[in-house]
Amino acid sequence: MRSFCTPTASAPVSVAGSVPGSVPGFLSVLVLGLLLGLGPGPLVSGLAAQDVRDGGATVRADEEPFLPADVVALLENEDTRDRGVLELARLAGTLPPDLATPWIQLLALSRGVPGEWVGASARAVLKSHDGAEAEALAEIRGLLVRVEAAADSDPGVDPSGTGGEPSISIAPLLALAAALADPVDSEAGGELRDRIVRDWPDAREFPEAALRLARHLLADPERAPRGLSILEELVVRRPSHPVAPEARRLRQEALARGVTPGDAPEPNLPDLHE
Amino acid sequence: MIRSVLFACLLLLGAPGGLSVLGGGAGALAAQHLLVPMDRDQANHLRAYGLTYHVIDGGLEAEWLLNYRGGSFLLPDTEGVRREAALRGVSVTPIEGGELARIRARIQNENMEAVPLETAPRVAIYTPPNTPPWDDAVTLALEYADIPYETVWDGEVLEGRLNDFDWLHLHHEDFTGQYSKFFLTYAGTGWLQDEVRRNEEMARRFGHPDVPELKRAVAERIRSFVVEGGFLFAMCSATETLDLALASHSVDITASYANGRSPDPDASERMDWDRALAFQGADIQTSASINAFSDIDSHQVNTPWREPLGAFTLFEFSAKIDPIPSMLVQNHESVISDFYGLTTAFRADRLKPGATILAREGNRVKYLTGMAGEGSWTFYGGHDPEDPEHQIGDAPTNLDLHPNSPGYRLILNNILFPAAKPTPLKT
Repeated sequence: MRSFCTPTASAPVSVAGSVPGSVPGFLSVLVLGLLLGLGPGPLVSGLAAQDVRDGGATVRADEEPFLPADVVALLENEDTRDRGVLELARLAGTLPPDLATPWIQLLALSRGVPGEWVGASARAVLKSHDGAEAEALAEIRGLLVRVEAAADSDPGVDPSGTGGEPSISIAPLLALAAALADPVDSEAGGELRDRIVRDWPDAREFPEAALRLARHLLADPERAPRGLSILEELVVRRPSHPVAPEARRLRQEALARGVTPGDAPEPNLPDLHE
Repeated sequence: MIRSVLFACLLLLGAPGGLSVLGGGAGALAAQHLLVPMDRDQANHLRAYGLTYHVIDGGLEAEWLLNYRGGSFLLPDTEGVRREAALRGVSVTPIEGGELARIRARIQNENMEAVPLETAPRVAIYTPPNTPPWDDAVTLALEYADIPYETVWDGEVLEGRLNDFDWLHLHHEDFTGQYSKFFLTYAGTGWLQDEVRRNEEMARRFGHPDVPELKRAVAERIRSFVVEGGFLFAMCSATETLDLALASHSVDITASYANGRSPDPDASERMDWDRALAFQGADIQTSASINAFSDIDSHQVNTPWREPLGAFTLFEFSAKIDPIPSMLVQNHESVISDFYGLTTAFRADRLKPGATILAREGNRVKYLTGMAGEGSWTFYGGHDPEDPEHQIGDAPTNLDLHPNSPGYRLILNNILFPAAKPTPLKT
């Protein structure tokens, strides 16, 4: 795996005016970093900044993906975020499934939301990736609190999904938080997905969140009826979504076990043209 | 049953003009009808039958558009129907008045017909107790399509309970009472010993000297069910052995292990084929060491002279002149891969003249129907349309993997066929 910090002459990043992966490019930034007294962490950000100062970014398909820390560094900086998203997509495609999920959620989050969300979320994902999972969950929860607190003064953000037509959805943030919660506290993951199901039924994140929440609830006999209702809401709302067949299968299994639907938000008519 | 009643309420409440129990209503606007296409655009053909069954079971009107897009269904557009379609994964298309008029004009001008479906048939499956449901294709199909049914066996049949049902399916029973000649391969196995014990107890309970006599009495009751207006659907060995049992009322055709007597050496000549529903003139296989019942079966799967499988072709009937056979062959495929059973298909030269051939491969008939008295019977050879060589102990067929099975569709055509006319009154 290629890193900004590991120069390789054979795998340059194609950046107009500079080749940051090459030895001269790397050295010049390293020197700059040393001059500024930066440690290893800031050095990564410094490399990203250099990358942007050199111009727009393009990615060659035959290059190795960047290391997670480097991707996060790109995402933290507004000027390098577009490039960071491209690298994030490449990174997510190379990770094993058990590690990839938060990065994929981060990718879904990384467009159309405030930059602060992306940077803070990226840091949390990196912490989880590095094994500090509880810390990551705390960090993303802190971000959620800040976002909700700020929502009162920002008409573009509606943390409830029911306050009209917000231009920015927090559903991707909730989905990412749920993914980060899963390894630490599955109950917290369920609660976060429950918010998506209840408050963001039209969000892109709804089908997957509903399916995972339903699985979580069906494992508990007392909460299985609500799990079944959520599955039904999912297939009625999104009958043609790729997860709908699995939802139908789970529903049949639950019915065969004698589960009956419980309390759940009432669905609307399905969109037959989806 | 409770779910069925709840569904009926849901459908009715969701009907135009009724109360919506689904709330919201902010999604798609209701059209007048929903078309359930049954051509290759349908995502789940098998569950489409269940959806249609529940619509008519809920008291709503439905139509079967024979030969239109694979035998599509036309259902009322209610929130309840849309919801059920979504839950079952059935593709539906809203149809407005103008488009429906164009469809009706096409049906009028081509070999098509619109058949109202009025009454959901009461379905019974004849099956021994403790039989796993995966071993019977009809049970699998009904479970998958979520069509309610009850099971009956010899006791219920002999006590007259068939009068409670409109439609009867025969599990792959051996009505000659020879336990499908499984003694040749499975003697000593626990399940066969259980089957023998269960059948002998039943024979004693109803005063029959042996199991072949018990099964013959059951076959006669089933014949009466048909003659009095019932719909009979049989697959696999039940087809052949039902007729053998009916035609052998005065001759012993069974191997000695079944009743302790040697079979009549002139059994074939002494058969009374007038009693049979579909077949005539067959040579009876009385040898205990040959796993076949007669030469009605064209494939003789468990004999050294087994015939290979091919593919059978569905006939196309005039939908306006012959709506009944048309209903039975509605499909999105016309050529279907064959599949073995203890009785796989039928020799054409063993059919009675009144039988209507629905599908055949050369001189082998796979699927046929006919009338008897006020009722009708349909025979479909083979065991499992999606498992061509199903063996005892094989894993059950998972219909989630075959939601568009054309072979299973033929089974479900039979379920809705009785809905196409008022329920006959039986005494």
